[in-house]
Amino acid sequence: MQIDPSVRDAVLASVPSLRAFAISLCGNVDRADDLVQETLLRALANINSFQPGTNMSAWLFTILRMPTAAMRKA
Amino acid sequence: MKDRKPSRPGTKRMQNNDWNPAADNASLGREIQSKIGDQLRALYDDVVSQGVPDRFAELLKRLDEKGGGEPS
Repeated sequence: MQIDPSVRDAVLASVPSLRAFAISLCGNVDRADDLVQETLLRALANINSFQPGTNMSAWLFTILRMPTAAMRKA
Repeated sequence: MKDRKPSRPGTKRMQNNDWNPAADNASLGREIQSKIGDQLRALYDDVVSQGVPDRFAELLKRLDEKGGGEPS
């Protein structure tokens, strides 16, 4: 499956605020960037559950805050 | 002659509960709050203005080429 260009653009556009959010949670830029990376991998692995037309940033923020264990079950 | 003294000094102050030193101590002064706010905003603006680091742009490109990450 290829990443839909519009989805990829929306994800990329969300990265800056996603990083700022992660930094506010981690208090550490390196850990925050790891968290963002994991979030992006999770998001793209579950891209089918994203409703097109809804707020991509909000969806990514939710995934970022989801505990790893809960995500594995999903 | 009824020389009533005015109410004892102190009584009035004791009854005035509007001023609560404990509450004052528990909150930060406006100036400090606004300074913290400014610094947080500056940090956020700084991070957001960095745009998308290569790391993430490359990650997405790689996933796209590979065909979308883990098989489900």
